[in-house]
Amino acid sequence: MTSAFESWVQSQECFEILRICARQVSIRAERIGVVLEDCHIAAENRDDYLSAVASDLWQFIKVNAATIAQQATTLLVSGDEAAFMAFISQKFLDNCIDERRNSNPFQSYYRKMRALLHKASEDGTIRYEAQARKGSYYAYSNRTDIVILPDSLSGADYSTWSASTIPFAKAYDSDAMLTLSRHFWDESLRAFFAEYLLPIRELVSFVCAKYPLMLTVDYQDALDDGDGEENATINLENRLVDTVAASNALDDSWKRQRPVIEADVIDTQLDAIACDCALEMTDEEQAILMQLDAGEKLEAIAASLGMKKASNVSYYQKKAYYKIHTKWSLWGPAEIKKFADVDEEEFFMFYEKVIDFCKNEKTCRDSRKGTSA
Amino acid sequence: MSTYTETLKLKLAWQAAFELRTCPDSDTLHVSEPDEHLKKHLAICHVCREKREMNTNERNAWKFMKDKFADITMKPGAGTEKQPGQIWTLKRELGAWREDGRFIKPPTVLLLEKIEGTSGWRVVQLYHDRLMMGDGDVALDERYGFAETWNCYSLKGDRLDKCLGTVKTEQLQQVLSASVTAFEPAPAGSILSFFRTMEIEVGSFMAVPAVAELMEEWEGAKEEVFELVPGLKLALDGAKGFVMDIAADTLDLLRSTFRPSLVLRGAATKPALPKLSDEQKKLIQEHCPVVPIEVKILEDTLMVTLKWIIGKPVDLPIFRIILNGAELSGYELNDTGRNMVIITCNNDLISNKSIQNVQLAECGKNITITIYC
Repeated sequence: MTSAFESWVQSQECFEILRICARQVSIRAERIGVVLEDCHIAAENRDDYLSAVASDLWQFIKVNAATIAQQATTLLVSGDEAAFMAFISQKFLDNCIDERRNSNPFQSYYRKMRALLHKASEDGTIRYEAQARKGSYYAYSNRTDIVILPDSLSGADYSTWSASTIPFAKAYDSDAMLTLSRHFWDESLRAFFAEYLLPIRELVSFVCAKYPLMLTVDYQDALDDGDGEENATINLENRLVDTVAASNALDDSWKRQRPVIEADVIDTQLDAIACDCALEMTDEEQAILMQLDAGEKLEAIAASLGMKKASNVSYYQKKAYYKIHTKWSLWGPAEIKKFADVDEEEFFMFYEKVIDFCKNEKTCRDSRKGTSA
Repeated sequence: MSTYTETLKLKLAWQAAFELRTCPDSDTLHVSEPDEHLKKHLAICHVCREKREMNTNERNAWKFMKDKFADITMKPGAGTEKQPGQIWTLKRELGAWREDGRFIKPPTVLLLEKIEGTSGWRVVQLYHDRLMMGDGDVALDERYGFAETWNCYSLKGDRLDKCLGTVKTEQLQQVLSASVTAFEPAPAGSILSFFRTMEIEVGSFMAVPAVAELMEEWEGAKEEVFELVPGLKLALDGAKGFVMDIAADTLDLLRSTFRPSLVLRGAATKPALPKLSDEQKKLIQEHCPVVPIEVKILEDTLMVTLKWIIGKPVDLPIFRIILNGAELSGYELNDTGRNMVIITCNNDLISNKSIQNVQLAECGKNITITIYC
């Protein structure tokens, strides 16, 4: 590294450049559900937030400039700044992920809860709703005029709410989680005297206030190198009880986790990505996906599309599925170990959206107007 | 992958890889009037929609930072004589739009060996980010990333642009040796398998037109090879007007870019020889560009799907299906018109449930496929 480069890194000019670059980096961070700075700053003052991100970016570049220059050699030679931007954003976010924590138990629990409520909504007992860039909500109500819980009522001190009778050892069981969702609903009626679409995040915050989810799942992940031990959570709980270390660790865990409650792509961009995916399909692929969704047999689909054999339909079907899977492999949330059912349900949410957009391709295309000019 | 963090980082690396390989460069993206290709891309790629929202100030900031890093990275050599073991960029003009709305950017390659009698080189494709390494990849100097030894192909020498340096002799040997070794494929549905499929598509995009051109350089031995491999002539006829939407179909095409180079390697020495050697014939027969991609039984029919690696399908029944050593007759050959032929025959012909495999015999070449009845 040259001294001229080092002097530039130390200059105000460098920081100003990074401040401008911070916007793209933060967009990319949000896309994979990593909040770079305190989310309250992000919400309240975008300038302060970008300055804070730029400061982290500056630190990263100062320490890693030589490595970046080496690893990005082929991209730098190409001369394309977009390629360099993609590279440096990725490496910076890698670094942020390393520096933060090994896992996010809140998010893991949130995803499992969201997947369960979505699945339960299929038989109509629960109302589930996702709103782009806001989050996912639920209600044990069929009222059509129900509204989202106002911000003023969010973030209550749930430690004062009455606890459920579900023991901690069962807190990850699917049935128990649904019971907890019902319990939180009932408690919300008592507290707010009205029915609201409850943010699933609030439900999980409530669960966190009642059970030491943060500490134990952290430990489980740290222990886990592939085989997994079902009882690790409970064992740790037994081992640490009544110790000062346990309560300090729990406090610390809360402090570290609370400000960085993340929103993943399902809460923020599911519609946009599903629409992209639907538009990637050819007419044949769209038609086949829709007819398969309607329960049509391959032979009937082949006949309706003027194809000779069912196998021709299989060919397009396979291509369409490959496109959906590739898209999800790119933009779906990273898999959570031990929660294969969650990953499956999340994929299904995406798949359903893609089919919806295939059915309403016009809506999808209209949403893209104005983005190409 | 053992932790959520590692999975998240791999996903981030995959997102960057997809963007670096299939999104247009800055100059192509930031035009004032998008053409049809760009419009199509913007409709399916939220990353580029966001990038197009960057204002001039933001783009200049990234360009400025890229230039600062370019100053401290190595500079490519000019006018270097081509030698095995060198790392080369490919000419920027090779980047082009694909029918599906993706813009394929030329990768960096390592020269493996000169193809005798032509201006061609056998090369291996490189990728800079070692996070995407798996079985069969060979790590190189940090500046070059790793060699995808499962992704080798032939290129004309004039496609190479700038020489970035040379790998150590032992590294070249390691790559050569790995390129003829069978490795475990990446698990289906894994990020690695999606990445590798994309890399193969990129390689095919670069290689296929080159293969057709190299074939033209090699006039004398053509007819003899065509006699050996009837599908090849038709395949190569198709290759000249090649539209790259076929490689996305199946991982069975993983070897597609490797096989043509072997065909050429065997064939290229022909002008100096009165007859192809047995070894050359074997090479050609082993690497015939017709591959079976699927064998299955659907209700009462056995279906064998064949695909041409490049070019158009033949419409002649040049295949013989051999069941338990006896030739099968009474089957229907159905040309789907999409580089694919489906052979269908009645289940009566395969009613013997002990059948363990089907052989497709093509001009003396047997492709054995195991089916499970």
